[in-house]
Amino acid sequence: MMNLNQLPNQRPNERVALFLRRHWIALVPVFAGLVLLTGFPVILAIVFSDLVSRWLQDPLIGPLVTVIASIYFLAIWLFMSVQITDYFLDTWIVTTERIIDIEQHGLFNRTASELDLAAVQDTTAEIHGILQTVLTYGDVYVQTAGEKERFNFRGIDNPEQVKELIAKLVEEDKQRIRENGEVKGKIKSTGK
Amino acid sequence: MFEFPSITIPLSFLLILYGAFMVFFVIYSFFNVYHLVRYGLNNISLRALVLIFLSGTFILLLLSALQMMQYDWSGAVNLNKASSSLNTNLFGGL
Repeated sequence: MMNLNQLPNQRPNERVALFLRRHWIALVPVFAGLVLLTGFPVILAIVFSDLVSRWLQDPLIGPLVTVIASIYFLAIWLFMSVQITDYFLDTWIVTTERIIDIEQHGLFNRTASELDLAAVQDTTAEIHGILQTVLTYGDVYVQTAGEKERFNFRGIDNPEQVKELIAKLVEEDKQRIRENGEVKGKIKSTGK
Repeated sequence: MFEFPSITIPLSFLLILYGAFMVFFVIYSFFNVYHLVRYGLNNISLRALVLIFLSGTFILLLLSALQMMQYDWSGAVNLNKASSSLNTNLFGGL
């Protein structure tokens, strides 16, 4: 399990400033799908309870309906669980020295990248549309100096505040480097 | 009405199909829980998530097993006779 007090390659005096996930609105389509796909057959079974009861007592139709229904509900349950796992494991960690971007794609692809705060050149917060404005969620882009790559915090809560905090942490990190004369500023990326 | 050819298949054939799905389900569920436990943030919501997933899976499997145990799976089905049974019973009550 990941522990925020023991990050991979943790540096001395490094502490976690932000732990981010996508806004909860990202889970709404998953739960809406679950309610629709399970609720509709259940409502039909209640409305036509006499017919369903006869089906279940039939020596041929009963086993057939049972097997199909079991596979159907287990498949929906598994699909929903994988979507929630994907949401749960997509995280961004901002520490006093670096940004760690961990992305889970399905069950078998995982990418973890990290970026020294000293390499950050620019941060941008974007909120588009009525829903994002009302629920105050959106994207934050972190542009690195001299690199084409940029980190994209997609659909996070309070992007303006996150942008401000990252800008402040970047400034503090650069100040610390100037004082200590450290050499930093690179992106490391690992995939699984 | 549509009529199946006169072929007899054991009812347990359905269980073989179900077993094939269960192999897929168990492998995916294992990797799902493994990823959560291996890479998730160690806190109460992770434990709650794993518990809810395992509990939901257990309840679904238990309900399925209880319903399946009510049937005699050792019998065989003649598709020709089954077609007339399906025609009569499938939507006969509507």
